[in-house]
Amino acid sequence: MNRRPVPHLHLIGPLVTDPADYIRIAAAAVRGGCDAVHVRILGGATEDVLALTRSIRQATGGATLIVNDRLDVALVAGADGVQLGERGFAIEDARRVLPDEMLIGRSVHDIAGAQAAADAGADYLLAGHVFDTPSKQDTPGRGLDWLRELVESVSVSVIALGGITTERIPDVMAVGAYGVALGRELLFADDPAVTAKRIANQLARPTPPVVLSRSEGPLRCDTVSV
Amino acid sequence: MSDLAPRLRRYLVTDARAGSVERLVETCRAALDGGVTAIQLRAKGWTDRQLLDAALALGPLCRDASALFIVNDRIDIALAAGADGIHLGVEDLPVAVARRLLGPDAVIGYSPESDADREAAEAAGVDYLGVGPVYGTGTKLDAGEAIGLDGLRRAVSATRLPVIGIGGIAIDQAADVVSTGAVGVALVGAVFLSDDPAASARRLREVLP
Repeated sequence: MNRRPVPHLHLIGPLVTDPADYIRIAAAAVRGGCDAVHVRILGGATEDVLALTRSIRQATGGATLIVNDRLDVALVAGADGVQLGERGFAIEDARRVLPDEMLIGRSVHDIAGAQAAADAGADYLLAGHVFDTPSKQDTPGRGLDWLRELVESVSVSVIALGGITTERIPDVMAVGAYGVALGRELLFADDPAVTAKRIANQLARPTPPVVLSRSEGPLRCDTVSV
Repeated sequence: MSDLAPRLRRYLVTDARAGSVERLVETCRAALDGGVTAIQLRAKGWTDRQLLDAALALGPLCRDASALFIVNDRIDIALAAGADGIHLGVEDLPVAVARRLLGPDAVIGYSPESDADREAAEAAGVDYLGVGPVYGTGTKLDAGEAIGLDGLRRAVSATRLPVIGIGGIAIDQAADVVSTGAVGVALVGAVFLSDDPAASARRLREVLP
């Protein structure tokens, strides 16, 4: 199995922005350290979703590309993973269709759902919404205590979503989140690259052990995969 | 694929107005009992989960009835449910891409919107064409102006592929439609939105044995 590591800083869009804006913002965010870009168009024509996904792939290079719900588009565009909503494919069904190396993330909104998704083999969970957000005005944010409980109830990586701002990152990471997913904070930033960098710097990343080897040739510095 | 044409003869297209996965599946079961030879799963606006649940139920039903099972647009749903094929339009994934994902045995249908479009699809390896709207349609509001029997006849003579007529076709008109050289009719409203889908399908089989 050759699945990519789960990314830490996810950009979720395009939300309300124009596709061309989203491509530009995604490219900037990736330059700043954002390591996953999601393409999420609800109810869009297949050709539109595919066109945007391909453009994002071109504009963001090696960042992990994740397509919401549309496994067909993910396959065709060579995306690295899919994000499944609660009304999307079941994880087991998605696994049957997707190559083994593709990441499967599942969006969850409660602890029972999180446990079910983890049991079904999700690579990571997108849990939210943690804070109040204009995207979900009918439901208040579930809060940090909820996030902590959710993180502790599963053994897969939990990405926090919903109303997350640069200032709130330390609190979110303190309750055990593996990473964060943001829309507005990056989409409406004056400079998405700067904002992404500020956020990336606050995410506690596990650093692989460094091995110095002197076996042959000049001194080399290798990382060991763990 | 010499045996495809008879399987396209009485072709049922589902409709989101079924309202629920259960009702859609039950309607299809009744229509299969009544003799439809193919089912295309199409339900605009439904969630992926609803589509997939419907597809997973329809696959075995169609297999048991030796009917063709086609999914509209969504190759991922077709793959997950083991459908026989896919039906594509101009806004969907390119035919060549669908062929690559689904393999050489998959049945790929296409609804062309122009001659150039049809020729490109033929070159890319589609297996049949859906041509219409033959008559005015109440079920697909964006379908464009009716082409009539003459338009359908022209489309049939322009291609070597099997053609099914679609769009606003009532059961009593099915014989006229195949008189153009079309191998079958695709019905939405006439079977799917009828009070008794099994009876409607049986009547279609009488008209179009």
